[in-house]
Amino acid sequence: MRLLLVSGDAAFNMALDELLLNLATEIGPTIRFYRFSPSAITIGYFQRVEDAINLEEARKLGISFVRRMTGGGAVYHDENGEITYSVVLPARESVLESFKRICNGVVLTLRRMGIPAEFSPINDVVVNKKKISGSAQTRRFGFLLQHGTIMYGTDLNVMEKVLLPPKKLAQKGLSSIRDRVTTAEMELGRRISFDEILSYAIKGFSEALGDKLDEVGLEELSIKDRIREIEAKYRSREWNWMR
Amino acid sequence: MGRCRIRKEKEVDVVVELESGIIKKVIIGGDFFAFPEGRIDELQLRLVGAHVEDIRRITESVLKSCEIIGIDKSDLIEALEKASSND
Repeated sequence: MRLLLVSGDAAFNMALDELLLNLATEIGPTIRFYRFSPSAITIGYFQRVEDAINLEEARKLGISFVRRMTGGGAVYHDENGEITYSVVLPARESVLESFKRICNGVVLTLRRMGIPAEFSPINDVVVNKKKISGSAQTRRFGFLLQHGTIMYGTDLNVMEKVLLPPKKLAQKGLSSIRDRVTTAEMELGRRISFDEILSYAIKGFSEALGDKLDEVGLEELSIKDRIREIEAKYRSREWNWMR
Repeated sequence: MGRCRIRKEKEVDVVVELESGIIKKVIIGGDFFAFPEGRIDELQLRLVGAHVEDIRRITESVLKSCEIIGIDKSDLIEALEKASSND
């Protein structure tokens, strides 16, 4: 399957994921690995902005947000601490089965690095019960788009400041973000680069999906111009403040 | 304005504004998944102008072919009804 290694800001990244899903019947399955440049927040399709983001802190830190086309929760995407994947595949399994199969790419990536990661339904990957990866999915035209994170060196202090904790966590008394979230660097006790985790991710997802990943450029897919119009949606107030 | 949050594996968070038993405004939020997502938007549109007693019937009808993950449809109906009674 085709492998794209193209990164941009939050609006570009979400637009390219949406476009790859929209064009899936023409161009077939694709996988992407990317980062958010600059760091940004994404919120789930149904989330209310004020309930998901500490807007004052985000503004102070110069971190903007974009609403995703996928459900799920808010995510802080650290430019220098997270690799994001997105996969477009025929939607042959149930939602829950496909979450498990694709998240296995994250599990295998981390296990190759020596981290005992496990899938935690519905859509997380955990290490010793601490979240290290979250994913979200949507479906159209018989295909699914699943995108998700692998936190390798995310600044948890920033994450804690800009995201409002879900009510359930406050109720459980898990007040510290370090009680419930971890990163690959914290697990291994050493620094990890984007390129290092990328090379593990390519192998991990190739194994999980049972397919060879062949890198292509945006030019080869002739879709560069078509991204712009979708990008405009993700830059609009109407979309981002929908709820 | 009434509000009700119900958390199962995921959360649904509903805000309803009523006037003489008629829904004036409704926001269905949360971190659940819905396939297709647009059915939830459609439900919001269909509920505006409807009588509060019709919440269950309208929701069941609009979400007939919608798969919701993380909460049950009954949780969404309960949240809509409770948010309405809180207003």
